[in-house]
Amino acid sequence: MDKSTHPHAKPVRRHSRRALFTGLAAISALRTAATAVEPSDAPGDIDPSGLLVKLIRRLTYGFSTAELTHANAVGYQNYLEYQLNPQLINDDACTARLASMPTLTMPAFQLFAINPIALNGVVQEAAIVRAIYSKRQLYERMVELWCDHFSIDWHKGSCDYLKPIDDREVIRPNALGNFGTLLRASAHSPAMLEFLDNAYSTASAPNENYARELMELYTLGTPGNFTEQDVREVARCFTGWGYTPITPLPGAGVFRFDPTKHDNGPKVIFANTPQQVNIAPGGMEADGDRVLTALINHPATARFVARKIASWLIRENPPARLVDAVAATYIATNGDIKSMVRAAMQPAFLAAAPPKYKRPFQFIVSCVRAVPTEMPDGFDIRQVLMQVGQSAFERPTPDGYPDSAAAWMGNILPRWNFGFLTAANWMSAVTMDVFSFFGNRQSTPDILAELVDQGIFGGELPPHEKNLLREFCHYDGNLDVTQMKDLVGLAFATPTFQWY
Amino acid sequence: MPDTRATGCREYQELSRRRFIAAAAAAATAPAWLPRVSLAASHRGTQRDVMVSIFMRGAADGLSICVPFSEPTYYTARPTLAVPRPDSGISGRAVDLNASVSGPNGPVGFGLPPAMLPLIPAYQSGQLLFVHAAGSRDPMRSHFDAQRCMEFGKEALDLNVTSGWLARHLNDTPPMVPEPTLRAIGLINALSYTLHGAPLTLPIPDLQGLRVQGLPQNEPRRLATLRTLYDLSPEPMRSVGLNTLATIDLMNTIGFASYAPAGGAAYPDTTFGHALKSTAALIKAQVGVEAISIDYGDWDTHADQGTSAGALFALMSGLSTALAAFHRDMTAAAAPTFVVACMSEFGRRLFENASRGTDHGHGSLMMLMGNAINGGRVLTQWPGLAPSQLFEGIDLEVTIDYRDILAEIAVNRLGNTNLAHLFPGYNPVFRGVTT
Repeated sequence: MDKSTHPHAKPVRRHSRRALFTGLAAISALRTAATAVEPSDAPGDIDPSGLLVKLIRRLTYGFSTAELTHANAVGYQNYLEYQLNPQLINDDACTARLASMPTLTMPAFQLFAINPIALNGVVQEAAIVRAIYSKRQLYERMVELWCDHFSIDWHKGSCDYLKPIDDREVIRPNALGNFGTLLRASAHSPAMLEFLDNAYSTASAPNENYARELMELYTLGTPGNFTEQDVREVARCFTGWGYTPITPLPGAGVFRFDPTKHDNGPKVIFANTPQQVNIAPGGMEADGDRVLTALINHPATARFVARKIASWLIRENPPARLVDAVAATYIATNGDIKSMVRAAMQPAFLAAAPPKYKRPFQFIVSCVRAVPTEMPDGFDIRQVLMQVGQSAFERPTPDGYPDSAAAWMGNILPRWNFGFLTAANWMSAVTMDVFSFFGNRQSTPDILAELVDQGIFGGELPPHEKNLLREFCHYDGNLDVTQMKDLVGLAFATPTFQWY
Repeated sequence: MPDTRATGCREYQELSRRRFIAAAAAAATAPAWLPRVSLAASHRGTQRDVMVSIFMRGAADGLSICVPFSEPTYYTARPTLAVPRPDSGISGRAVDLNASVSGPNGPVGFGLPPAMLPLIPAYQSGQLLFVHAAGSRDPMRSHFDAQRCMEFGKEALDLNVTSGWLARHLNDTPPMVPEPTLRAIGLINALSYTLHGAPLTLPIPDLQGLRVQGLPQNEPRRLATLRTLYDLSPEPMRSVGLNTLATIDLMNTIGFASYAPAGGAAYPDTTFGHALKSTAALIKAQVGVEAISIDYGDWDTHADQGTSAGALFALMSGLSTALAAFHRDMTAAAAPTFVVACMSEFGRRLFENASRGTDHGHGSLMMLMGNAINGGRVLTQWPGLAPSQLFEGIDLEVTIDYRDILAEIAVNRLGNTNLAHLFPGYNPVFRGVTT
C-alpha cells in the first residue's frame, strides 16, 4: 500500500506529545509510523488542562474561542460533563433559528401532505444549523454518529416521508441515551422497516435485508459473529414487522405488527454458541423483541459499539485498551451511551490520540464556527456537501458515511474552494464577517497571523504554517480587506485545519 | 441496501428526460479538439490498455442482463420478472445472442433484454464479451463485505490485504508515460476500494472546470502560498495537496467541455454518460492516466424490480447506452487501446420474492469490452438452474471466479505478471477472454 494514502500516516502536530518534526525528519519518521513510539495511554501522568483545545475539537464541530473561554473556566472534567448533559444547556438561540422550519415538529401524519423533497431539505438544513449554532455540540456530534450507524437514505421508497420522523423520534431522543433503547426504537422505525425492506417480508417470502444489517452493521459487526443460518432465522423472527399506510390521517405511518405475515414457527439463533436462543412457536411480535434482547446482551455488540464510539471521538483504529474500557462500560451500564463517552474521553486516551481527519461535513462546519458567520439558509452548504459526497440522509448504502481519513483525504479541492469562497463572502447564503474576526480594523501581518492562530487554531497552528500565512500578507502600512479574507481562506486550506 | 422502485423513482424519470434532451443535442458539430499525439509512441510501445473498471453496486441481476432463455426454471422461478424467450412473440422479449453453449440440461441459449440492445453493435464487432455465472465463490451475501473483498481481490476478508487489486497493479508496474502527474482517477467523490492505496490517484467527480476558486485580487500569491503550505507539510498531506494542484494544471490542458466524440457517438446526458465521455477524452489525451474507476447504479432491486419497464430497465438502459457510445467513440477512429470490465459483488436470487423483486443471490455476470477482448459470445461454464444445480438450492452457482478474468486482463493487457501480489492466495485459471 502506498504511504501517501496510508490511513496511519498522519501529520505530526506541534501540540502532539510526539516529538516535534519538521520537513524531511517528519517524512522519514512517518515512513516508520508503524513502529513510531506513541505516548502511553495509561492513566496517571496526564495534565488535562493542556488538552482543552483538543478536547473541544473532539467534542464539538470545531474550535471556537467561546468554547475555549468556557472550558478554561471550568476545566476538563466539568467541560466534558457540561457537554454530556445537553438538557442543561440553554439552546434558545439555536432553537430560534429553527423556528422557520415548522415541519420539524409537525405531527407525522400532517407531514404526509407535504412535498417530500421540501420535507427532507428542511431536515438537512436543520442538521447544518444545529451543527453550527447549537451549544449542545457533543449531543449533535452523537446524533451524527447514530445517523450514520443507522443510516437511512431518504430516496428509498417511502423513506422520503419516514426518515424525517426517524430523525426526531429515533435518533435524536436517544443519541446520548441507552444503546439498547436506540436499537429497539430503530427496529420499530417505519423508515428503517421501509429502507431495509422488512415491511415487505412475509412468512412465505422472508426478506433478509434488515436481519443481515441488524447484525452486521448495527450490533455484532463482522459476519464471523453470525452465520447465514442466523440471518435466515432472524429474518423469520421479524416477519410481520411493518407500518401503517401513509395517509394524511392520524395513525398513519406508524409501527404495526401484522400477525398474518408472521412466521410463527420455532426458531433458533446463534445455534451452538453460548448465546444460543431457542424461540418457541407462537411468539408472534415478541420474536423480534427476543432477537433484539439477545443482540443487546451479546458481548460482540458491546465491543462493536465501543469501537464505534471510540473511533468517532478519539481515533481511527482505536487500540484494544481503549475499546476494552468502553466495552466494559457498555456491559457495566447495560449500554449507557453517556457512560461510554465518559470512558472514551479519559484524558490519557485523548492525549495519546493522533489527529483525526475531518469528514467534509465537519470541515465545513468548523470553518463556519471559527469565524462570525450568518447563514440565511443552508443552500450553499448543501450544494458543497453534495459535491463532496456527504449529503445528510443520502448515503445510498446502509453502512453510513465512512469515518476514515483514507475515504476522504484525496478530495481536497472542494474544501479549498469552500474555504476561499466563504472567506471571500462569495457564497450566496453564507455571510462570513472576516473583518469583525480581525477586530474590525486593519493591522500588521504579525498581528493578523496571531489572530488566525488564536481564533481558528486555539494557538496550535504549526509555526511554519503560521509563517507562511504571515508572509502572504503584503503590508505597506495599509493591508486591504481582500488579503484579510484570503488569509482566513488560507487558514481553512492549511493541512493542519483538515484534522481535528 | 436500498433498491430503486419502478414507481416514483425520481432518478429514472430524471434520466429518461435527460436522455431525450441528450439525443437532441448530440448532433452538435465538432469543435476543434485535438488529442496530444506526442506520447502515442511510448504508449503503443508498452502495448498496455487503459483499464476502465466499472462497479455495478448493489448486486446486479445477471439473469436479467443476459437471459438464459432455454432454462425452463428461469421462467417458473420468475413468473413476473422473466424476460420472455426470443421465439415467444411477446413484446419485451429477449433478442437471441446466437451464443448457445452446452449445459448440464442441454444447450443453453442467451439473449439480451430490450434495455441492453444498444450494445448489439459492440457485441457484433467481437469486442464485447459476457461472462456468465461469474463472481466470487465466497458464500456471503452482504453487499459491503462482498464489494470490499472483490475490490481488494480476495475471496474473503483478509486483514492483511487492505488495498485494491487495481491499486496493487499500479504499484507493481512502471507508469505508462514518464513521470506522470496522475495515474488513476476515480470518477466519484470518494475513492472506491478498487483504487485504495494506488499511487498518484485522485477522486475527481467532474473533470470539467477543475480549478482553485477565490478572489481574483491576490490569486497568484494565494496559490503560491497554498502550494508552499503543502510542499512543506509532512506526508500524506504533502502529496494530497501537490497532486491536486498538478492535476488541475494537467486537466486544464484537456478540453473536456469541447470534446467531440468520434463516429457520432452519442453519450446519454447522465452522470454515467458524462463519466464515460470524459474517460474517452482522457484516454485519447494520453496524459498518463491508465486506470479509471467508475461506479454505476444501485442494483439492489429487492422490490418492484421492473425488468422490462421500471428500475432495472432504467439501470440497464443507462448502462448499455453509455457503454455503446463509449465503444463507438473509442473505435471509430484511431485511439489508444482500452479494456472495460464491469462487475458486481454478487448476483440475485433465481426466485423472485413477494415484492416483485429479487433478494441477494450468488453468481452474477461480468461484461468485458475492449480492442483485444475475445468477444461476440457468452463465456460460461453454465451450471444449470435445476434445484440440485443451484448454489444452496436457491442461487445461480459461480463457475468462473472473477479473479480468473481480471488476472488474464492484467497479464495480457496491462503488462503485469505479478499475480501472486494482485490476487494473494489464488491461482487464476485463464479463460481466453483476450485475443
